[in-house]
Amino acid sequence: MTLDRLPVSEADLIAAARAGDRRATDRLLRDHQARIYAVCRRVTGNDADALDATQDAMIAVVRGLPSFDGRSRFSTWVYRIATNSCLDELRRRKRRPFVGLPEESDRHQAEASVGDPGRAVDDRLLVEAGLRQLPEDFRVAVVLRDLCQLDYAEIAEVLDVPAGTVRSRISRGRSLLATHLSGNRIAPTERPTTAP
Amino acid sequence: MTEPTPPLDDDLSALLDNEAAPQVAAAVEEDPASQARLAEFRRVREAVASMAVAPLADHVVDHLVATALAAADEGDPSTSDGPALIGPIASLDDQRTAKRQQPGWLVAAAVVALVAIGLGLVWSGTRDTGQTKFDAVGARVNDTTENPSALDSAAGSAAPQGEASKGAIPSTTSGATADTGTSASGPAALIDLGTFATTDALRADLKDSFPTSPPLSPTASAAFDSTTAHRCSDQAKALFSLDTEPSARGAAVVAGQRVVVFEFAYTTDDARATTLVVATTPDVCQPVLTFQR
Repeated sequence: MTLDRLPVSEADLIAAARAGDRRATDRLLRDHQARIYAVCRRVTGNDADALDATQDAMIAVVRGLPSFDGRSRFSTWVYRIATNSCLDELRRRKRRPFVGLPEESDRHQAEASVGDPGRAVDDRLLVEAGLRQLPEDFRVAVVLRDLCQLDYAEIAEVLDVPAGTVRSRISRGRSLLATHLSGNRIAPTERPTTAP
Repeated sequence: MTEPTPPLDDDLSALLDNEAAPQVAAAVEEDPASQARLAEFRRVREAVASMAVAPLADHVVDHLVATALAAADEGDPSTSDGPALIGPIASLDDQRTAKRQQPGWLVAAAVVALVAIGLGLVWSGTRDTGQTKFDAVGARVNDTTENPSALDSAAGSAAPQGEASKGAIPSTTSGATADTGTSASGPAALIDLGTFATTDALRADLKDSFPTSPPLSPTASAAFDSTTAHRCSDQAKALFSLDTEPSARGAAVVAGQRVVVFEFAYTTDDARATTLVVATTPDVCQPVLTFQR
């Protein structure tokens, strides 16, 4: 059985990569690059930083393979590396939040819409701007939940924080985004976010 | 008898994710305000979920993978960046590799260039507002000293483009950096766009082009001074990473709220020329409408 011709399980790939099989490592990187880049793109907010963070994360994955002990899912481990890489990138550059360039799919979405072609692009731009303005902790939590579809336990493992903290960060992130999307500059004060 | 406490935002948000206690759902059914808040959170969740990231081009992936494999061959895993990125986020070290640091001479050169531009603008004396261009440039110089990455856009060709120097990763982006021929200062007068009941109505009116209406009357323009318009256009530029001044500026009233509207030349990733329209409130420059055509 070779990696080129037969499908192999991820466990086989990981074992082969840890044993030094370069093709297996190559395959693992390609299998996970999309999720790494997706997290980095939405957390860093722009293509250039996302590419840098993605590259750093992929290097870290390769170098860290010998120490991956299998206690967590490989994807969870990869998400942790990607998230760390993004946060490192943000802190290194000390960027203020800003919106990156629209992706090609924006235009396709707009052109495909009937009646109001601009609506899809409007929403994407506003949501992207809103994400950028979120504090990093909230942004990461919201991205991991709503874009990457991780559950609270997985996010807690990725971020190495309690599940209650994940819950709170997601809630606050969504609350701020809701305020941003509604165009209301004043955050709602009537509803408490946590128990007193 | 005390009123039952409505569910907290944390509970409502968790309910969306099937992570809430069973009694939360029951409490929401009894409370219209909670239902409305839940609907808000649902819209946010769906909006974020809909923002799928476009996949990288094959050649970019090839380069990323090759670079990662090569870097792994170079370094000792025990001393590389790997463990720091793998470790807990709370204890993340801000490790900087030499190849990712911007050279000091480059930073200094960009700062000198910005100061020279600022001095040149002061001597030319072309600014017609109370705030001199030097003040604006000086503020930007101060900003770049604290935020070196801003030099990438501020210094233009003096700075490496988006850190592409890292292994010469092929560019997958085309920024709004192309010179579209608009003047650096943009149009001076605010076009009177009229009054609209909703932002949708404003969008529909501007869907095809910016009108060639006459400028605001002196009375109406008093509510939109040049400083406000410049400030909001600068914030819109920062928010959407734009390098060009607006090609058109207008003012409208939407649902009784004054807004300033800008039109920017905008180049997509595949080098298509489009136009980005942004409307903001004049006080804090909060975007209320954005679309692209």
